[in-house]
Amino acid sequence: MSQPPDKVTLEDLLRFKRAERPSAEFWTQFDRELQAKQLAALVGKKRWWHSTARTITRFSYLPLGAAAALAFALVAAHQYLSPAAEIADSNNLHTPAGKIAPTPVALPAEVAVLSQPPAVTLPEKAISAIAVPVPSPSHPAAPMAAREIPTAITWLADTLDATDATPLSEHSMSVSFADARITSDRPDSNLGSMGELKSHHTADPLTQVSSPTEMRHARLLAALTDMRSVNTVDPVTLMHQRLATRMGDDGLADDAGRLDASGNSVSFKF
Amino acid sequence: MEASKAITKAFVANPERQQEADADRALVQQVQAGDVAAFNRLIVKYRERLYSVIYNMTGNREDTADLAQDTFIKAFQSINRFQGHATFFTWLYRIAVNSTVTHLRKNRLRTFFSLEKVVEEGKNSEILAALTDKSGAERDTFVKELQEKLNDALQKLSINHRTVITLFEIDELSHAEIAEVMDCSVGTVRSRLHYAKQLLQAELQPYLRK
Repeated sequence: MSQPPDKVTLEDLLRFKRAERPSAEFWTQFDRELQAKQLAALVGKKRWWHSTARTITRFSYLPLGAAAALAFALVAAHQYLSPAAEIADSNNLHTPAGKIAPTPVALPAEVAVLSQPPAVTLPEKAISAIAVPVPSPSHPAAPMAAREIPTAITWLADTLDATDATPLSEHSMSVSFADARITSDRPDSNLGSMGELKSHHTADPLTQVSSPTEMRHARLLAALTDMRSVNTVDPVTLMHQRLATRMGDDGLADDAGRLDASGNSVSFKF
Repeated sequence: MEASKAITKAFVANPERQQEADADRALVQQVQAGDVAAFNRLIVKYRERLYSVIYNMTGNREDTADLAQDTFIKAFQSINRFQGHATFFTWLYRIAVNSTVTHLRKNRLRTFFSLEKVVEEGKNSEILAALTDKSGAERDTFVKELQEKLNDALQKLSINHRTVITLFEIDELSHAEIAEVMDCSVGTVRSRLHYAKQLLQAELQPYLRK
């Protein structure tokens, strides 16, 4: 047995802390738990794009909702404002260029000229022309192609009136294809001699129809008059008519037979 | 960077540590190449030392086990980022110390201690003989009391001071290594160590013999 030291320092006391050790069983348990955690970490290892996708998904709800609300508001505004704008335009007797212009503008002036075969006869009745903000054909400053556009538009509108159910774009396409076919069938057709074709037809439609603006005005006024006539039906008259149809003589007799009043009670047979 | 240079100098002075660091580097390279078993060897090598550091910082057996396991898991998950600028064990210690400090800061209000049994061996028995002449159950009670006093004194230190004293006195790391682990200068380590020792001496005065 060695002699105990005379002095005990702080370092000696801290040596006791070094001697605090877990048992061997503890390390067995420790290793088992660590292995389980290690496996879990290996299996559950997530790639960087998982967290990125999750973050994007988490924060995409707000813009998505805002976009949906904005889209809904735009659609609602469009639905609400469209008829009013049309009526306002009809009062001004002018159609906004943005609505109608794309169709004839998409059609080149030369093709529009080609789509006016001499065999087609324009009707005498009202031709609904589409007002397009183009220079007046009679205006000396207007170029030649611009002067041709109202002619093409007039003819196109007439074709559309003949089949009202078909959308405008379909008409444009079908008319263009049909006219192209007609033109190609013609032996004298020649795309190179455009000047000749132009001179061939320019005088016809404009001389036969009145001003497109006036025709459009007349058509819209007629539509408004029809609407007014429908709205001016007296509601009292309408109610009387409905009652008369529901309470005919036969129905009234049948209903009266179902009623039974005895004493202070009233019964109704179904 | 300076601390890293200091460690390199320390290793040059200590060939054993240098060999140990080389062996660790080889094992780390194996793990980085996909050999998971090599990491198990590193665990077995460092688990007791790591446990000791964390245990003396927390004073709680259960928390220590969890934190040590988490340290190894974190090291395993990020071993591909280990480039060998520092030694593996300082890198591992740094993970452990950072995890423990975070844990202690989170659970500042929760103070629950569960202490390990002191293994009496060699020098410890002599010191105990100097401190008390009791034997049997009374001696065991004295040891238990001393253990609690030591733990209380350590817990009264701030986290940084406790870490420094643990790494230096209990785990026997050099100043430079502690500076590397704690990401501070060697001077800071020395100053913290001095202050911590002063506080501990004041706390453990009844057990000191001069």
